[in-house]
Amino acid sequence: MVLAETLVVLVGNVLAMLVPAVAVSVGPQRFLGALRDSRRRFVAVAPYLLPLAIVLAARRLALSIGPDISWYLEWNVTGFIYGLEGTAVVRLQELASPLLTDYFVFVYLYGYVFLLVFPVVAYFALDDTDRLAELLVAFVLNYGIGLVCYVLFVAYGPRNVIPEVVDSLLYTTQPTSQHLTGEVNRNTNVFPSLHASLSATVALFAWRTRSEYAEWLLLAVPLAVSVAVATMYLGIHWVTDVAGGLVLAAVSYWLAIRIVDHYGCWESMPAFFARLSTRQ
Amino acid sequence: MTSNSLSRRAFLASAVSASVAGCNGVQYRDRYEPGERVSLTVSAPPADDDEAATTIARTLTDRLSSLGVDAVFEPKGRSQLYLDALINHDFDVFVGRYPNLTHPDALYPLLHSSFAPEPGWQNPFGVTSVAIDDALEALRESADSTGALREFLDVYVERVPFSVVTAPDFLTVRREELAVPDGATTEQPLDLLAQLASTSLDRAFRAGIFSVEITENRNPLAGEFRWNNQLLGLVYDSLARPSRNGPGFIPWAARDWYFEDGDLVVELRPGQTFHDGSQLTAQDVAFTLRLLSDTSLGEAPSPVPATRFRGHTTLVSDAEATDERTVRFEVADHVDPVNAERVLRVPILPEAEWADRTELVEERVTKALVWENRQPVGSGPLAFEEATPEESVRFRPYESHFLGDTNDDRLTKYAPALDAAGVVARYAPSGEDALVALGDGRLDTSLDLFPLQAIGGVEDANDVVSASSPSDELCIVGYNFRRAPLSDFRFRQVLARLHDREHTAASVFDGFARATDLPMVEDWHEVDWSSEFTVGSFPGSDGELDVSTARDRFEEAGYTYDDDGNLFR
Repeated sequence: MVLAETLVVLVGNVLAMLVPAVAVSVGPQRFLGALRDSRRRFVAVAPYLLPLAIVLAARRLALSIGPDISWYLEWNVTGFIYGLEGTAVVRLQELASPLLTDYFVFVYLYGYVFLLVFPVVAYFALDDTDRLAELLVAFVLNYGIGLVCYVLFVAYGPRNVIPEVVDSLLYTTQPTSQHLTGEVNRNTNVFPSLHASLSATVALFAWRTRSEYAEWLLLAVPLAVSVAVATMYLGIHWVTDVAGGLVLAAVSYWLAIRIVDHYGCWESMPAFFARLSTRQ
Repeated sequence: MTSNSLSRRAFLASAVSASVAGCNGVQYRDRYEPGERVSLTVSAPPADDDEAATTIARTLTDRLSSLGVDAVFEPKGRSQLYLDALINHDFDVFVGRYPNLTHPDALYPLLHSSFAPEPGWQNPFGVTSVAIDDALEALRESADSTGALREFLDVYVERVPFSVVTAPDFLTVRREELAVPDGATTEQPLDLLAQLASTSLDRAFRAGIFSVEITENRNPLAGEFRWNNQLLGLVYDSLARPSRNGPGFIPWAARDWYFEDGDLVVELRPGQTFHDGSQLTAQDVAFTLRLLSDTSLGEAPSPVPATRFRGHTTLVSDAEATDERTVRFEVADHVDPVNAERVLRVPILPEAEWADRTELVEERVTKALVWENRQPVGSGPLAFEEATPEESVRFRPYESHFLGDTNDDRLTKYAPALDAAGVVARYAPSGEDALVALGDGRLDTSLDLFPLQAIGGVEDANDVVSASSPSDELCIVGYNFRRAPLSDFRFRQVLARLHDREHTAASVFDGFARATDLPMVEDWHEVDWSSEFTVGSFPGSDGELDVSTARDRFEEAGYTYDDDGNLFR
């Protein structure tokens, strides 16, 4: 019940950002036009939707059986990361103020989801489907590589390791959000920060599409930076996790462009699928 | 050529001497090498599971690093930590909580060398000390344990089989409007039963749990790490329960007991039934004792005891039903009758249900130990109703329970619980979340130990109050005797002093703990043992370690430092 309420709030907040952003940036006419042409666009990126579906399904699976594998391997890198950076994230929390905390909580929970959803809509509205395909591939790579790290390593975040100096600000200010975050992740999965990597990926693509969506670049970059800072400010991630996330973003971005450049999009359904769809 | 052959002979000679010297050299070098760098991994649950333990372990790691030890902090989910430490004995040093320290005799299974190979809270440290064994046996054998306890503590502070940091309080947070006495906590089954009786709500009593365990697994034998026994402790009655207002036991499923020819004879209350309607007989009680002592009932090559109850079942050597309502326990050799009474605490299981759970599912693991027991059938005042895994579990009052028609003064105050509407236990992922739920009325009280880090939020929450009381738990640091240098008691003596206990109780526990370095809870004895026994003072003050003094301690214990300040053994 609490989970359902939290979800409704999430959807409401994200829509409140998404609708005006699409209206201003994409424009109703372009958006409706894209919808009318949606069949072609879906077919074009179809080869990249399947891997995305697989990776998202694997994410659910990794949540249930992943921890068992992680504990079986028991590659616990928490002590190593702590040895590396100590209490560096404490510096960020020294700046804490109620207003700043509210901002970062909002950015972490809702701004992040908006950051991921908006470019999907915006790139869908572009006539050239390559951008959308590249973005989807980059998401797949982020999730895929991130999940492998989550399963391989046991890593707890600062709030679980140095609780006497780092406040678990997200859960102290928004206690019920734990019902939601508990659904999508475990506390042993902090390296790398997928919040940081996916946000950085979106920011890189915002640069790539700056001629189409100039305003988006101006919004995406500060928002992505905010998300990365928020993960540390809220005591969830180490600096190392965010650094790992940035590297992952760069790798995913570079690979995604190469992959789409190499394999391209579909012009139409391959004959086999086309026959399947007419038979029905 | 002469010079050549000479040089060849010289070469051969030197080669031979070199090889001989080489052999000796290797031996000598091994013997004279400064040894290995001291390296330790300190494990503890992460802050999500036990913030105090995290902080104590991490602080210890930082201090060890500053003393030249190659120390790593390793947080581990609580169940994983206890699996590794208690079952697999795979740890160096761990910080955790030792539960159920209700009686000095609880130290017996914890430290006696005969339990070293066993899994569970049976000597997980691998202590094998004749001096400790002797002291523990004397403790078990004596009726007035003050003298025996003195002897034990004398050995304890020298051998330091494990360290105690604090004796933490039990914390409960509840809605202010609840008709519950001030200061009442929810640590024991009877505490919960008393609250059910006094609140007598016309809807289910909503209790917050911080572990989903009971929503999935309701086996009273499973897991040494089942901390929270309030609910299952009311589903499964025992013969007697520890009194909540003073020492000793109050009769429960047993109406009375007495000693005869060295046997403990127990008389059951008449007309008791299990939740499925079947009769509870002396046969069930005797069966339970046999099952807990060997869950394979003789089928396995060697006994597979229920590890949780090892301390209790080793108090008696046999149990026999002499008639429908009488059980005769044969007290084990060298056990004083006063100590043997503790066997009355074990849960009573229906023979009909458990008799066919004896097959081995793995080597030394029986089905009785690991099955989930989703529909628990006991004889207690609460009966299982339904559960939603990872969310909630619901119990209804068991109307046929003997509490309904008892005149015993010690029991009548619990009787109204049978007229209440039962309990629903709901999972809260954190203390902060529980506070929100308490404020909204989705919860009436916390049931499991309320997370210390969220206690500050009570002041800001509306209509919510907290209560605390000394608990049966100790916050301990376990050392693995199987690994050098932890096998060296001089090394452990230094380790034990690296905790600033007063500072920890005040800062880490926010005052909700008593600083102590002795393995006993408060209500054992009137004597102030701390003035007589101590593992030694903390080298430093206000939580700040005096590094040079601490380094001297290691050197006094026979350890050495290299030029870079690294500690070698």
